[in-house]
Amino acid sequence: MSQAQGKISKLFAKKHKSVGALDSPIMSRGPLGRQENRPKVKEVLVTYSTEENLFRILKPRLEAELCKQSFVDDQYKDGNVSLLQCKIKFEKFAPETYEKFDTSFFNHNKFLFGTPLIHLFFTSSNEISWYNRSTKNDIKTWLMALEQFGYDNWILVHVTQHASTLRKNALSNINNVINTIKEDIASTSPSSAKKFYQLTLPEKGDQATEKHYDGFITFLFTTMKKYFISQTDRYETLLSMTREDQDKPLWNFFHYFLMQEQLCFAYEHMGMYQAALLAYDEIDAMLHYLIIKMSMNKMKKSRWFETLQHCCQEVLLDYPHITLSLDQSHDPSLENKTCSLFKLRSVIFERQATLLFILGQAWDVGQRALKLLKDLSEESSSMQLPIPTGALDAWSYLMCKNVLDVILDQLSNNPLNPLKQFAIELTPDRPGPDTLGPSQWVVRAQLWHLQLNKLHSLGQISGFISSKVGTAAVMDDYSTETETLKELWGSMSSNDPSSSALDLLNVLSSRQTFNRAYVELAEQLIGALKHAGRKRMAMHASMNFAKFLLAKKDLAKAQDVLTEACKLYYSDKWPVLRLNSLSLLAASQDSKDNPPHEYLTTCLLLACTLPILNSHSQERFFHCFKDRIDSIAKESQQEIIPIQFSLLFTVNCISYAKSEWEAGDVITLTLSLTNKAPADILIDSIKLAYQGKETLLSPIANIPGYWTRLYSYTSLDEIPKDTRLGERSRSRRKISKTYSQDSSNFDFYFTAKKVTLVPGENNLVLSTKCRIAGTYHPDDLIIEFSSVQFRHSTDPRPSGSFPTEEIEVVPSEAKLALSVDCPGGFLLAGKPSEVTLNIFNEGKTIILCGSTITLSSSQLLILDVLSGEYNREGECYQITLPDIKVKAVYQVRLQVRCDPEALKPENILAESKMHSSISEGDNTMIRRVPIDVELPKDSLYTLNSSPGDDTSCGCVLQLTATCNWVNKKAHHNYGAVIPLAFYLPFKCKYDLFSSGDVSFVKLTLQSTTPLPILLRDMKVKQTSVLKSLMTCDQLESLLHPGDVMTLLYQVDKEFNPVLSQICQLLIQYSLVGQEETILEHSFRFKLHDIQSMFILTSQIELSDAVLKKDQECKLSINIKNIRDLPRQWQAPMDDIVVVEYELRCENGNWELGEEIHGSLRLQPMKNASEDLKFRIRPLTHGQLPLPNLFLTLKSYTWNNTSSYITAQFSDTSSPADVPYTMIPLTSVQVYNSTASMVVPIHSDN
Amino acid sequence: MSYYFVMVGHEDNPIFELEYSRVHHISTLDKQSAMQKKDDQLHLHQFTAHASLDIIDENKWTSNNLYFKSLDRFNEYYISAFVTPSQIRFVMLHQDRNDDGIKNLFHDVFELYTKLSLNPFYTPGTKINFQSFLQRVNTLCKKYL
Repeated sequence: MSQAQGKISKLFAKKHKSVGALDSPIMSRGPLGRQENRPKVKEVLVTYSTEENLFRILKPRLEAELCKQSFVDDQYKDGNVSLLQCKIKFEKFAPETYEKFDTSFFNHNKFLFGTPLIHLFFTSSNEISWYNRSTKNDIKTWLMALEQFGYDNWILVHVTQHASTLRKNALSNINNVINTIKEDIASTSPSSAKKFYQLTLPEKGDQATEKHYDGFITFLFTTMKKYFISQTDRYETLLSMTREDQDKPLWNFFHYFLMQEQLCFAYEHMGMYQAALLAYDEIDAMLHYLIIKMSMNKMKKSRWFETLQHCCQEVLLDYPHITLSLDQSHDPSLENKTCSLFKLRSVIFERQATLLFILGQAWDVGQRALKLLKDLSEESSSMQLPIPTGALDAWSYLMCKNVLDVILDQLSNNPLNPLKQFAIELTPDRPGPDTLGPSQWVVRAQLWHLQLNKLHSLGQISGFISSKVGTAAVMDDYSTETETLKELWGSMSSNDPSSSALDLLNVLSSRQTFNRAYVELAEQLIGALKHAGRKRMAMHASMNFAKFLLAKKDLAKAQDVLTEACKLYYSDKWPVLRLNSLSLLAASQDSKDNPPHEYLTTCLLLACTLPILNSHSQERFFHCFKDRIDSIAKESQQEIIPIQFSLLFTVNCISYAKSEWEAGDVITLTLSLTNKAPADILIDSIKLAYQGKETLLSPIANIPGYWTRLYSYTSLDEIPKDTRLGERSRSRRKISKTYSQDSSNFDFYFTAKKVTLVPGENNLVLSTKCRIAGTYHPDDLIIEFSSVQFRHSTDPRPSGSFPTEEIEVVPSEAKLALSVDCPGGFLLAGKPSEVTLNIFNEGKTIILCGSTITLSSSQLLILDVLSGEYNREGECYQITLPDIKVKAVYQVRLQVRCDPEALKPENILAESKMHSSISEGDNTMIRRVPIDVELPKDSLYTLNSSPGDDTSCGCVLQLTATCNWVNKKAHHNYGAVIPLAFYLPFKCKYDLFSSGDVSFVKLTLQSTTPLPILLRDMKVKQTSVLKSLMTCDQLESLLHPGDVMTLLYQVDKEFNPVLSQICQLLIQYSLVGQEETILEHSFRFKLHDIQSMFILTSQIELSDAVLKKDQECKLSINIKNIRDLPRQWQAPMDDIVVVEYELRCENGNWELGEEIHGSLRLQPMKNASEDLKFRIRPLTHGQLPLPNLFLTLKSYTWNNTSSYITAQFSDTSSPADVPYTMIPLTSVQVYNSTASMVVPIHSDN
Repeated sequence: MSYYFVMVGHEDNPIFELEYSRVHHISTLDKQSAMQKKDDQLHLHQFTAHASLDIIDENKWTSNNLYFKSLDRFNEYYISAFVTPSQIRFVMLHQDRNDDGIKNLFHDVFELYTKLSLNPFYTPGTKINFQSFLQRVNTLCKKYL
């Protein structure tokens, strides 16, 4: 044990030796036990002088009734003066035992109760002679003795028997005696006559004498009270004289305190508790006044002040323990005038508390405790007491705890609490614990508040709480002072295990216990303040509590507290406070365990909704928001976090380009949107959805697949040119109109993608098409970017007020549409198919009975009308319509068939989009498809083969309908050109292969129909030329959609290579499910240039063993005729075949010499050959393929009169005059035998 | 010595705020400059003033006086209040007990506010953004504090 600790323990032991220890934590510290905690009955001394026999008769009744006397004396400090706490002690008058009245007796605690309160003289003289002879002298002697000692508090009583017991003439004698006594007394002093009382002894049943006797008792008590008051007045005069000497050096506050306390004790015994309390308050105020004044050197410091300063080391030993006792003994240190400030304060407070409890003002104890702690803090700081760090905080903490415990104990229904029982006797109507009003709760809360503040300070000293909020300190941060404090508390608790200090020591023993105690206390405080109706003060405490919770990472509880604070400050409209609480809330929510939308919402509140925040802070919080959503988007791309729309955006208004739209029109509107963020936002998409009030659903919607077609029939070409973002917004990408399949909740909506919204107002111009007439109103607005979604409809109403401007979409013109009724929903070329012509009356057009539609088909389309009333005029059908009501559909069944002639190559549209070689008529037909005609199929697009594929898969024919009603838009009769797409069952192509002297033809069939095809028979008509290499062409086989079948044929070696041969593949097939209908399809292809004429052989001539990079070498190419060349290839005069050649290196691996092209003259006979040599140089190393030689034949024009060739030249004509054409030879005609050869090239090194 | 004066409307919202120091004073209405320098201090002042509304509301019904001197104390600040007959609350946070000066200031500001209430361009209960009002209150602060 350290020296300091030992000293402290010694002091502590000394203290407890004096006060003792009791069981109760509240009462145990007191010098008196619980059984003594009731005021002692004080003996009031009354002297008498009379015959013993007479006094023996009077005494019992006097003793009993005098102590019951009490009454309120309004003139004297509102005191309820009584002798209830007194016991009358009658003594025989003995003047030598009493002291003279002077200042000295104050020092001996004999004020008031040390001297007789009244002196009584009783006489019962009936005869005047007896009086003169004896009694008169006794009275004279008695009065002289009283006068000698300065007492004037006497009463002379003449006792008379009841009249019924007196003899005749006795009454007249008694009157003579009484008159004589009065005269004798009056002779000494005129006022003395009032001190004589004639008492008639009461008789049972005689009320008059009873009243007379009560009057006597009252008179007696009043006289005693007068004397008491005069005594206290004299005492107070003495006190005031003492008080005035406070400037003198020898004046001692302790002495004054003891004097004043004597007065207080006297008041207490006379039941004047209020007066006693006032006296203590006076001492309290005077002490504070003197200390502050001396500390500030406005008054010379006395010795008692220095004593208070020097005794401060025992501050922790004088920790508060409220002792509710009416005991009037003093602590020895107080008697010796060596008391510490804290001890002195404790004593005064204990006395005040006791009196307050007796007066039934328990909660005032709390108020006074707060005042005491405030004064004590001020005094100790002004006195600069060298108290240990944290000692005052600990003292205050214990004080608050103790006071509150005492108050609650006093208010409890504890029958064993004698002081309480005593107080109840005095004030039976005192409030109980169940009748706590708001003010009591406030006091309770204030005590807890102070206790919490002190615990916070102790936590900071102990290292449990950092002085800087938000960082948790560690236990290692203990300072030396903290260690001293711990040692001190340790010694205290070891000496007194039941003390409150032990509790405090336990609280500060570890971080866990400290946190638990802090949380418990804070919650009690907040609850008490709320109970008292002080919700703002509760929030004040809650904010500090939240900071504590944040420091100890209890984020969930901190969030609850801060959320409540935010609500209050929002409702009270204190923006700075709300901002602060939101900042803390954001800090508490910035955790991965927390739902991200809460943190994001708080960040947005801070960044967007509080105008008082400076721009830098706003941007910081907005960046926090963006960083979090970006990280969420990276971690989980599927997660979309919904956030309140109004946090970031406000919809100002929606304005339309015009008030009324026609169904099918492109609707254009301007959306005015405010971006509250302090920075630009690049949003991924914005959708403005509309809901119809009375949607007039078109009957066209009843047709299966209509909507699918509607949505798929989109094109970027339909974007209006004026579709753009508003004046202030910047678009990084044009708005494109798209439709989505997930639009089931809305009738239609506008959308834009990748739009940058600048801070402030943005105007977005959006467009879309609405095809259904009705009245629509904006219903929802959805903005998405990164991983968050702002949806207006999910906002609580009415905060997110939405513009209510409606759109009126009126019906459009009547429409025509064709639907295919065939299985599979497609038309097959060559097969009769049934289709339905639908006439929709959208409402704008009046279609009366008798209206007509004229149908005409293109030349290759065979049309027949199967239903309805019609007239045929040539190839045209005029259909008479009935009355078609609004929203009704009239259907006409038709049969269409593609003429087999349509399958001729000139009608095949396969290359319509890819190549320019398509016929002009076909192109025209495609362009004439009107935009408002509903296409029966995606035919125009699906008919096309993939780019580069030159095979065909179908054709498109047209059906022209002309109505007899007028199209108001076009100002002509309404009509439509309806394209009909006929599929070819197969997509066929052929390829030619050569291997020197043998050639092959490969035919490929691919099914293009949505239904499987059953192949029944396949034949090539020209069997003399092509010889099948496969045997499966005769078998039935099933070809599923998209399946490919390949047929391989060998070309006859004897086939004249110059001739062209049209071949035809005939295929008999039927669709699965319609096997009874056998269809036929033919594929025609032309055979020409199918045989190899030349063979090339390339060779490198090396000068060294190896060929290196950048080393020049010679390339030798041999050209040899495989067969005799045709006659028409030969020059007219010299029978030589002229071939132009060119050496090419397409991959750039070789550098070619200067002479890489030229003309070669070849003999036409078989096996004739020529050599060509070229200078080449490799530009890189590795295995390089050789350059290619390309040949172009010079073909002369011959008259072709029949199947054979005849030359018609005149002798005079020059060969140069003969016209010729240059024919590039294909890779089939020129067989390169070394095409796959590679040459090893070494590097330079 | 620094003072914080706030007028609180019927909805418990601050309608006028002023931070005054004997050395220099900064108006909170001038947000741009004041926010940068004294955000923290303003927050603490508002925090204290807001919490004191409870005790002001309790006392205003129990007393006939308009002025409540040193009604409460938070740390080094005393809180004095003035409740107008129309239940607008003036709250003053002050470090020294200048009771007379604060009382006079309250009465003069009340007079100013009464005149302001007659201004047709001012809606009672809303934030006071009149520069003239601010200047006059500043002048009163210089005079009494």
